[in-house]
Amino acid sequence: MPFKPDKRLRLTVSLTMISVILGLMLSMQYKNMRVTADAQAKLPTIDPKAQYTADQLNRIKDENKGLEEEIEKLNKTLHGLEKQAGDVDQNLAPEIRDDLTKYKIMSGLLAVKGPGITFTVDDNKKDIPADKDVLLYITHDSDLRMLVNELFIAGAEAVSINGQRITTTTGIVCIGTMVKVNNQRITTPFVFTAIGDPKNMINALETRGGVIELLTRPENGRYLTITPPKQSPTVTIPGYAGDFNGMKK
Amino acid sequence: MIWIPVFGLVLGVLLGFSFNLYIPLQYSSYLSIAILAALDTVFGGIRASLEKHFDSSVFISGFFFNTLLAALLAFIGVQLGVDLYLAAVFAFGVRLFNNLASIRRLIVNRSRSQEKNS
Repeated sequence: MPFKPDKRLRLTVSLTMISVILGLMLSMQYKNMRVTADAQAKLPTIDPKAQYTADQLNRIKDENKGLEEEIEKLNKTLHGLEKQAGDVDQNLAPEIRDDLTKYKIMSGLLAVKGPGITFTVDDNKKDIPADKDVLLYITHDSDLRMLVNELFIAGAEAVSINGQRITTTTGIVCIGTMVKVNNQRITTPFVFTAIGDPKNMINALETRGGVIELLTRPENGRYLTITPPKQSPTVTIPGYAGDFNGMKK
Repeated sequence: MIWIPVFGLVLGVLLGFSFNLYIPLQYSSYLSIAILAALDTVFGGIRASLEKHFDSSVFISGFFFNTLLAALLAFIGVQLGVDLYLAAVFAFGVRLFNNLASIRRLIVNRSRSQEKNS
């Protein structure tokens, strides 16, 4: 044995003691480094702009959640009411029931299916010459109103734009880059769907000097893109889901 | 027997993590220098024990003296605007590697002589 036992013991004891202290120091330093690293990692989120945006996003998310819950609740009520209405319908005389259906279709509450046409109205996507007015190349609320009027005059029973049913109280109005229909914001391309006599409607739209020519011909001063109306044996138009300017359905 | 210091190290680390001991952040750099000095002393002690001239009082006094001196040197350097801690890092770093190399050589030699003996 090169070492005396007590010398070896002393070696072990002193080494152990020192190791404990070294370990303590190491762990404290490590914790310090972690604190520093954490602080650095947190720095970017303090950027006020990002914070503001994040706050807004969170607020909108919360709002959306609340609205979704409301939709669910309202849908439940709607189902209940529909069931009640169905019960009422059953008790009605057949002629009154027919009348009810007719008025529902007229007011735009019922989804309808039948022969009709579809076409799409869009802004002119080509490069606009510098000397021309941009407004002549984009679709306006007035253009949509013109087309809707033309369709109803040509015998349309139901019309929708981008799935928004045109009802008795539907307004079509410009709100900046979008158009508000039934309080819903819609934007290009505007897909028109109309139920009625397809031939009549197509003729009315495409007649010489008619709406489509007025909106698409450069000699008329407008440059919109409108696809030729397509005739279809069955198109579906959804019913209007909102209220009638405060009146109950 | 040789494992007891290792357990001591683990115990120290655990103590440090389990108790809410904090060195203020501004002294963190002194602590790092002190750790370097301590590491150097520990490896020096291991080397000495392998070379069989280990002296526990030299070892323990060297540990505390080196550690405190390194921290003090770094502190003085900060006060004077001289990066003295670099000198400490350099000196202790070189010594640390020297110690490690010596330990490696000693272990290799020892295993060789054991092979010869057996």
